[in-house]
Amino acid sequence: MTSTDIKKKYEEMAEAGMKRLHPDKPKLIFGYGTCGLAAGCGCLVDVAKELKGVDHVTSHVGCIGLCHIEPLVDVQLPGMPRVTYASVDQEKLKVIIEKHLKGGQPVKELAYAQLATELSVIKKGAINYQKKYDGIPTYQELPFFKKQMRIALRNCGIIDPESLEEYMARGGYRAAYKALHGMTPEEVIEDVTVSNIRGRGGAGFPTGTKWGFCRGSKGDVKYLICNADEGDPGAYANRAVLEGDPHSIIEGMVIGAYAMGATKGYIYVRAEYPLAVQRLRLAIKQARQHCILGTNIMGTDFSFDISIFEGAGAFVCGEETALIASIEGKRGEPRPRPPFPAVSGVFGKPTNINNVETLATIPMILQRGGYWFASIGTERSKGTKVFSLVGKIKRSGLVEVPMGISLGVIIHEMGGGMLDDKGFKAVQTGGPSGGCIPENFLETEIDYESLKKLGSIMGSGGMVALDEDTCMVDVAKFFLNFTSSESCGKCTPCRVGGKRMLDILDKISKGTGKKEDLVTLEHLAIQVRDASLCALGGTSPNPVLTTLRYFRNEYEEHIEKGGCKNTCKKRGASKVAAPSAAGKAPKKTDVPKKGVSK
Amino acid sequence: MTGGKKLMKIKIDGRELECEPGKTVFDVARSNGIYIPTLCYNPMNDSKRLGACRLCVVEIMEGGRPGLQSSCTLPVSNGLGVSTTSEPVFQARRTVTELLLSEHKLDCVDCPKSGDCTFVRQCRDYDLYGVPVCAECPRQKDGCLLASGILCLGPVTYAGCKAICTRTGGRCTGCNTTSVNKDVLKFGAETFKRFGYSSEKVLEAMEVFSATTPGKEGFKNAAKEVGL
Amino acid sequence: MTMKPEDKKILDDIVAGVEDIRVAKIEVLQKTQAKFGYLSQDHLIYLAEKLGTSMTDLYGIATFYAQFTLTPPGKHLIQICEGTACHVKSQNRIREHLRELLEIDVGQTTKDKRFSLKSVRCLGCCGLSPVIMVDEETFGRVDPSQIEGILRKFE
Repeated sequence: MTSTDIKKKYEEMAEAGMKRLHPDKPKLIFGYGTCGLAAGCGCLVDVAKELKGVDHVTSHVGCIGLCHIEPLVDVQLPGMPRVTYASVDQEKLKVIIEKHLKGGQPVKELAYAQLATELSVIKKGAINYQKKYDGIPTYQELPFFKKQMRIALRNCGIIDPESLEEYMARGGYRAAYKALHGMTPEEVIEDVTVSNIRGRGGAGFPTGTKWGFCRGSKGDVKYLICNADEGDPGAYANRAVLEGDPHSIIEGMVIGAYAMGATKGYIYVRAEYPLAVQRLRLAIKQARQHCILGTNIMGTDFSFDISIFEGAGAFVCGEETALIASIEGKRGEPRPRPPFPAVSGVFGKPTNINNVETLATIPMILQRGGYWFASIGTERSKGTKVFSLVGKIKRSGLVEVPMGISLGVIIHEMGGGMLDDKGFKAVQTGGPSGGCIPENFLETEIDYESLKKLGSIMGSGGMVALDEDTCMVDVAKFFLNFTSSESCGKCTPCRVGGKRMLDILDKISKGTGKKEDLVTLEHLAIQVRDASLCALGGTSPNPVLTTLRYFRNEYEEHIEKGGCKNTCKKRGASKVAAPSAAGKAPKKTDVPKKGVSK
Repeated sequence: MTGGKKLMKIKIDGRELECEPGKTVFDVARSNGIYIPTLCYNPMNDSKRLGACRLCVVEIMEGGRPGLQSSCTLPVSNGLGVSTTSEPVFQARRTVTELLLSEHKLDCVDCPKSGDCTFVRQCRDYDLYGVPVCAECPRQKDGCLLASGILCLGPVTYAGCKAICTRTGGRCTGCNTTSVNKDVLKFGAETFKRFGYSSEKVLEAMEVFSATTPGKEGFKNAAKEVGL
Repeated sequence: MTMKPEDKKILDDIVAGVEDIRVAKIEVLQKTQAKFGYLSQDHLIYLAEKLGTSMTDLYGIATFYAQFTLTPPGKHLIQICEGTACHVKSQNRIREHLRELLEIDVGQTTKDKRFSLKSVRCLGCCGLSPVIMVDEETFGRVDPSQIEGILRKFE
């Protein structure tokens, strides 16, 4: 096929996609990500399958980010915006189907919001309804969405992730086409460099520079790997994109491979995301069928193909060199750098590894230009970031916001504040490599540098809200327990130091710690941070160091009083009472006496 | 000398050194008489450079990303400058030794490395759990020379000397340096007390075999403590 | 070697079916476990020969990655999510309840071989914490009182 034929074919597919997105029949839309399924949308879909009496279409979309009110079911009538119904159960579904789908009138008492205008930054294929329903708020009016700027999440919850046509209808693969036909690899790297996008996996290294290194490495075999081993507990921004918009990753990789001269790609996705694996496999198959992967991509002489590599359950494989070892069929043990992967990676060949969110953003950067992206955000952190807002927060879910927004806005405005109106204590960012930020820093404008200054990191976007009943020593112990058990075991500071720090934290949390233990703990934490071989060990002391920095009094309370009045003590009580006390929140008790056992 | 390969210049502890490209900082240091300890790197098996034990870390002072790097995996590059003696290096090495010690049962008597153990020497260098000769002595369980009335200075001498003295029935004369480690000296004092030797007799022997002054002073204190 | 010929055929097919043998070690082990439920010593010995490596090499890989199990599992696998959000929302109550109900510890299988209990890294369903998985199904907002009902679905 010539490139003109291909372009025509894509335009036809885009048109077909638009018809699928906005059909002239009533459409029933289900939020069908792992979240939706976990909340019970599976049986709702079964109920809807039995539906008779109205000619309609059904669509399964990905996660729009409103995880706290899943399952979500939408009804879209021809010519009118889709209306979202939240926390839907079988009873509500029947009402919605009767009154809205069949009857033509939205059920205002049950309706959550309507999608009248485009929620993301896309231009081509943007949603723009002239007519709206009265009495139902638009998405843009909701505090959860008001300040969001959706770039990586542009298609999540909007398109059917299994439809290549719908992806193309909203501008999909136009950027890749533009790159392959109208730009040199150097020009692509230039645009990405100008955008100043920094690696969204946590390290925050400028992506354009990284691509430049790989391009500069000599070799006829180069690898481009998408790191989809999202392992930070509490972070699932990547999962939403992998399940809800898999083609955005493929497009990002095609552009990246072209820029770097990569010949082979892998998507390293963790086995614990089976739906993501399934959707990616289908997307790759579709891409191969439509000249997007394989030889002579889009009618050019550029060839590139992608394979899926399923991770086998090792957090450390999120680290570049460990991931490379894993692909080489070895134990996922990191290697010292230099040499850097861009020079010597998989089987010694130049390799570039990028995060899911970074790759999903690339097509938009090429579509709207690097300068556009650089106009968003702060001086040193450009663009947007997806955060998974979880924990003791009223509205938990995924949000994508411009860099520079304050923590307070995210927690209180978008997240709606703390669950049960409890007091805010801290927000934990960056997963097990990050730290806890207390209340007096909520006005901080989020970017890579500001979070680092506070002792935390951006990480992959996990943001856990902790309330006044949380024991910070327990939080530190939780994270250290995690990193300690996920340690690959290669280097001494992480393997042994992690265990010794955990022993001390255990003693302290159980009330048998002494003052000297705090000194030892802090000293050991600093040594493990500085002497470890890789970033897992190197950042594992962060939760300890930040909680010591901002919540030292809680450690001292455990030492002086033998315990705390928060989670530690409560956990002890509920253990004895379970299962008869199941479902009931344990009562608050007085400060326990010294030496109280677990 | 190098057959056409251009030499590189690096600095170790302020000393400018020339080296072939492709070498590691560890190699260059060792071949220039600069001691860097290691446990996981065996120069006989060149392919196994792991950077795993973290004992050989050096601090990058210039020409690279600041911080600690394992010297056995750090390739030389023009303008690279490292320190093997800075405080962070010392602290890191000491911590690594301490951590390994926390997991290691010093069962030196039955260990084939006994007398030639890098790890024991490491422990001594950082004054961590000084190991007395007694720990490696095969006469520990029966045949202890002290029990047969021979004043052996093993209890107050650092182990790891490779000597065969006690193995063949000769007493230890403290040639591997009298320990200054409090635990060792306390052990020594208690041992001598148990076998009925007076502190004067021990100090006399230490004098004869040129024990260090800190060693002698340390022993005097330990003896007082245990009532010898 | 006590492997049945039909089992050997299954392993032969798995090895033959990989796209790129160089990067396929983990994939082969995953597919073997998917077929047999676990990796036995016989499997590892046979596969080592087919893949041109040693049994200790495959053993080293199998014991490194959490996904692999070397002992026969129960009929149904219960996985407790160990994520931060789940932890903060008292996942420990769910864990305790399961331990008491099934009379086994995490990492063990019930006497009647019906259930195996395992911990798993954050499943990424944090908006619905606490979360557990039974086989391929995910359950969110789990309360200890719901557990018996959930388990009853799995014979």
